Amino acid sequence: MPYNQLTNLDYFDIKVALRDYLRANSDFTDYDFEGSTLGQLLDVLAYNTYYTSFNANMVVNETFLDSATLRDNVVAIAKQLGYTPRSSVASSAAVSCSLTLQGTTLPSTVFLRRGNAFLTNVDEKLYQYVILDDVQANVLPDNTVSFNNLKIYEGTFVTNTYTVGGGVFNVILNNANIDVITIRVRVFDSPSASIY
Amino acid sequence: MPVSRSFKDISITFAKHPVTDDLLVTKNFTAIKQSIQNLITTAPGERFFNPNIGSRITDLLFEPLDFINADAVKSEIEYTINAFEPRVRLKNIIAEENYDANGYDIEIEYQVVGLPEQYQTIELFLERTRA
Repeated sequence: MPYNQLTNLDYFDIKVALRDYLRANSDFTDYDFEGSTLGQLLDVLAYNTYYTSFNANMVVNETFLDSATLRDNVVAIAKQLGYTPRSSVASSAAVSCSLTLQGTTLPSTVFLRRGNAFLTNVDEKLYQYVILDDVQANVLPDNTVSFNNLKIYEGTFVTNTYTVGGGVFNVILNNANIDVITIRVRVFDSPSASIY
Repeated sequence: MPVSRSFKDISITFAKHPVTDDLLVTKNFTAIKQSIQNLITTAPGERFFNPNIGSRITDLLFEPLDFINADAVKSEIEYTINAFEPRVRLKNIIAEENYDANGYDIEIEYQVVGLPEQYQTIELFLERTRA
């Protein structure tokens, strides 16, 4: 009789299967008694089988996203799938504004640099909004500049700088409230370079 | 009356046979005697998934050596054999404190179930040991 209970994950079922195997294949008889040496060996063998089966079961479970339970494993599988976890989402608005320039020598274009802030007051509470990218507009003949549908996001503009050598480099942003769609990555050739 | 079958077990010493180089085998009375000794010297919780198997004698050996604890040792042996060794029927247990050797002299008398009136005896000396 072959030992074929390969899928058992219950210690006592494994032990019964081993006993049945011995019953059919062995001259020994004392495996039925708890005090016997064979009984103790069976205990160890059943425990070892149980432990190995359990471990194999857990390993296979952790390999698939549907059955993985450890966070690290879920993250590893999600990475392979290209999944980006959901983050906080900054309130946003599309605003239009118009500037009137004064002076004798006026530029032909005006820039709003990324990180420039707008303030709004709701119920006597101030909220700061920023723009994420540089915006350019031409100065009109009447000395006005118009920015239409300017996308602004609530929050503070934060810049983290890292010096990277060769090889793979992982960046950890230690801010739990980052809105990931607002992240911009710029790579410079050297610390003093201004062009990315 | 039930008739006893033969019993065959591996020796707990795991010594090899001088001629065949195989594991030593114990049979019948010797196998049962070995089983009783195994049970007595197994502490509860030592066996996987079976925390009740064994006797608390290991703990009792660290108690003061006196007739009260000798009686507790005797009770523990009696309970263990009755609970986990169905092949024997206990007749008598003697547990005497041995002050010179700092342990207990144990004598267990039993009959193998299914065999005619033929009592077997195990004599043990139980002392505490430190690992």
